[in-house]
Amino acid sequence: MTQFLHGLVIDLRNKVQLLIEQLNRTTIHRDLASNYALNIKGNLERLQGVLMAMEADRDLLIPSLLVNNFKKYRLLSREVQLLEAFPLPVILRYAESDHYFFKLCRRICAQIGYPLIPPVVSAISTDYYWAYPKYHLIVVPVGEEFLLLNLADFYHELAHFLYAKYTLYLIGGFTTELDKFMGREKQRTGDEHQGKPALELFEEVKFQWKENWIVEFVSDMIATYLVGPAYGWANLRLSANSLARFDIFGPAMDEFSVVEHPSDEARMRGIYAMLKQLQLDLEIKGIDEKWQQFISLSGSNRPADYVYFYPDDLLATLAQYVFKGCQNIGLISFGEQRTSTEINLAVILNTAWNKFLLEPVHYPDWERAQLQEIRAKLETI
Amino acid sequence: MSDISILSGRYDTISKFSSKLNEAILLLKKAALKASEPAMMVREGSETDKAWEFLGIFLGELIETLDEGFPTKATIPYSLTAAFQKLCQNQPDFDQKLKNLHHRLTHYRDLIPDDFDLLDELLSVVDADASAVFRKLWRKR
Repeated sequence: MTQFLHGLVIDLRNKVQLLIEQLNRTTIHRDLASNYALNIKGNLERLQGVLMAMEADRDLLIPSLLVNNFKKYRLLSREVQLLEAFPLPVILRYAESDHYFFKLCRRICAQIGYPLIPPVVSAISTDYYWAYPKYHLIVVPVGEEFLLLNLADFYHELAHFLYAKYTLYLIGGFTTELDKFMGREKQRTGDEHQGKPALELFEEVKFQWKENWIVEFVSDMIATYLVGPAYGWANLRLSANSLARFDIFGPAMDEFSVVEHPSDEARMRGIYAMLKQLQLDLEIKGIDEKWQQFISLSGSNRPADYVYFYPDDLLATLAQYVFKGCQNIGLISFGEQRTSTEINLAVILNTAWNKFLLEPVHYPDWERAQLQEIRAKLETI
Repeated sequence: MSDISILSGRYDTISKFSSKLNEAILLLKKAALKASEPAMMVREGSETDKAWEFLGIFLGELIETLDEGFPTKATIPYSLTAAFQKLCQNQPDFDQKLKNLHHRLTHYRDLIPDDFDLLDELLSVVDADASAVFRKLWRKR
């Protein structure tokens, strides 16, 4: 088996070499040439170096080290697979729509006081919007450059990079408060809840918060801080588009291991908690009126013990931390952006939602004209 | 919005931890095998010191985590807590074995083959979690 592993290492090293050669042969778009592509190539060269050293290491053939050498190989192999699947196609298939988002992203970052290098954007997603912070990448759906109503979700993806870099600034002592809160609830409720035993239930909920939900709630709250009510409306639209799943309150406890996001319903309350910090109570009322109608329409039911999953108090506490964190990082809130005299994306997105809600028939024409104006403005950058 | 945003961060954290743990075990295994394998390439000095130190911290935190029922420090990714607890529940003397290993690691810096087996068992838990997250991420691409 050691000889087989040796062969696998050689094969992987060869593959990395071929990927580097492919990058060298390709004419890289100017947006990516000076920085992004060089970084990715640097990643491949580093992997090539590690694999060459592994290949030359005679210890690779020692049977008692096989378990660990195999695990090392597997981690390296996965790293190559991820590079192949995520940043490399972006570089090799970079198109005009990606260039549009590249400029738009820089514009947005300048307007919100984004303290990090703006990520690269690719319009090739088949799974809505997503971010890959390690590869400095945001991916948006095909055709998204012709639409405005989803664009608030772009701010959510930008927030993932902020969370990765400034976790403690953004959540402060929240995890300690979460532990205390769940401990208190465990004692208070005893066995009165309907589902799992208290210990198991609250440990599971705490685990989900720490592992998956905090990052999503924080990203939602940062997006709301930056783009205001438009983010709440975009959440309603996104939930409405997945209405067929009837899962506004999902995941249920027995689905926790497979579903990473908190429920749409809880996310909306998280958004409200940040809108409250921004003192936009009237806007909360406007969104909630439609949201409650939508919940009734969906026919969704709260799963057992739902009341313990996302308590309002916890969401309000988190929103307070995130609000302070955003200010400490120097992000420019929606309220501050509203006073800007130049064309501001967050303001446009809120205007877009107002137009859409008031005059849905005329909205597509308005949207087209608005996007032309944005495009023209971006050309001057 | 897509789960890729969460899964990519989780895989990044767990794979870094898995790599660090594996490298530390590999380094100490090599050092232990040096006597019987003269041709062995062993990096002496600060790297081996760091491996002893890292494993000492990891085991100390793991023992504390298993005692308390939740992670007390930040070295071990949170998602691994449940998996380590399960491993501990399935073996009645597991807790004591961990404490013995921790003692030998931090006081004598001298490990026996059984210690390495235990370290590999812990590594397998980490590896299984990394594999599970990777598979989810891979399916989402």
